[in-house]
Amino acid sequence: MPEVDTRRLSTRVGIVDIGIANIGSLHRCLVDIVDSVNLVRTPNDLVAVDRLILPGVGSFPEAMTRLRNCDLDISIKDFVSVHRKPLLGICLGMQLLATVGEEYRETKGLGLIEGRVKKLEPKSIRIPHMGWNSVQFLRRSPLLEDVPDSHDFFFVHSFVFVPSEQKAILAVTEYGKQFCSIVQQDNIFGVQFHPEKSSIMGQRLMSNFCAV
Amino acid sequence: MTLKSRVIPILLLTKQGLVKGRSFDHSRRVGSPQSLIRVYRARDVDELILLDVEASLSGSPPSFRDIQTLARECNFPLAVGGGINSMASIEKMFEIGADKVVINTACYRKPELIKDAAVEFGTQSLVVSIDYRVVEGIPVCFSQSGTFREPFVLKDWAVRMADSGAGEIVLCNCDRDGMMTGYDLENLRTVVDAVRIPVVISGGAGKLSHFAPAILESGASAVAAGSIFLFTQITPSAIRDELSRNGIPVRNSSR
Repeated sequence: MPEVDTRRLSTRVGIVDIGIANIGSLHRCLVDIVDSVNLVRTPNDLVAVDRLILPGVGSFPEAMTRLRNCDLDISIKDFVSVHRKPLLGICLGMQLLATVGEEYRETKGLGLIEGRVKKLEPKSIRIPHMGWNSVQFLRRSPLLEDVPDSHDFFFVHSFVFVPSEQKAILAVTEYGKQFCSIVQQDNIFGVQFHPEKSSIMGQRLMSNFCAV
Repeated sequence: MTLKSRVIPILLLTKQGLVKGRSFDHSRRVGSPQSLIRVYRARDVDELILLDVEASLSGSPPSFRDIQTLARECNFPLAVGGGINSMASIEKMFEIGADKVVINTACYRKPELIKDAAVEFGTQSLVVSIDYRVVEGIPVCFSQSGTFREPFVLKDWAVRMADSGAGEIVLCNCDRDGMMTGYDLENLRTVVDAVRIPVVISGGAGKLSHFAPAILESGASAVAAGSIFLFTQITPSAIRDELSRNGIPVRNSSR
């Protein structure tokens, strides 16, 4: 059975580890793709990575507190804005890219892509949005190379990133109403679904990120 | 462009390997968990539920090491349950690769557990499984792998769990488990109507025709089964095809 690329990419990927995300499956997915995967727990750890993944399970305020407590909030901003290296936020990690989150209370996010994180609407839908749903591309991107348009990816979330600018929306998904399922602004990417749990095409997308 | 209905195999884990129960008697061995998980990976399954039935029964901690080995094989969502009874064991499960934890007995013993876990880990990764038996016409909750009767009626307990912060409910009618005679659609409907979170039905599926009604008539978000995959030639993708024939959106598989 083919498992995408058998050749590992020569790049050093960092996974932000603030203790609340499921790093296991992400780590496992990445070691099949690249030759170096490092956990990032302090700003110092960022020196040794070429690209960064910000995963996330848990709540927005809790994750931001943990990022600030290890001074990672500012150093992640430097990583993408000063050093211009690629960043991929996954699930809550995508939401943390926003200016403000509305989960539990208003909390400042990393502010890397302008927008707000809001609860899924309308109230008549079952929340969390849990399961496989199609991701429709609004434009092409290196992240989506060889990924079929409208393919199903695995989602588990109750909040969504609403970017201020339409042009930051790379793909949309429909649940109740349409929401932004992939965001991109220059070297900053965010996916609301879990590529590491989305079988072969999820791995393809991760592999694309490791090559941008 | 819509959320797909999932088909979820359930694997029961003991120290001897995988077993399949019949009405919650977990005594029949069916083989190595690792090889089975590889088969499901090859078949591009939607999701998998792995339950450590011994941990649940004996009160011992879950077999973290075995589960970690299995979790490494999963490039699909994995829910793990059995013996999870504290914030520490929930955190440990996520650490070793579970995407969701399935909690049953501890919900009755520690009413605050789901609430606390929802704040710390988010509701989306918390699955509450509810086992019940119909006693004199009333569906009554049972814990400890279906051995201990709880003083709660199914619907009330489901609502309470959803309000506490459960992200999903997995239902099982213990008396139908492993019988392959079909799901309990009536009680499924009652729970689906009472909560606003996804409800997964398990316990009783034995042939292809059992699945579509659980979604179309009773509103299940996913159908789960164990026996059917072990004792018949029916595969998860055959069930997806059957659902699709009934007009139910299912996932476009990668192969």
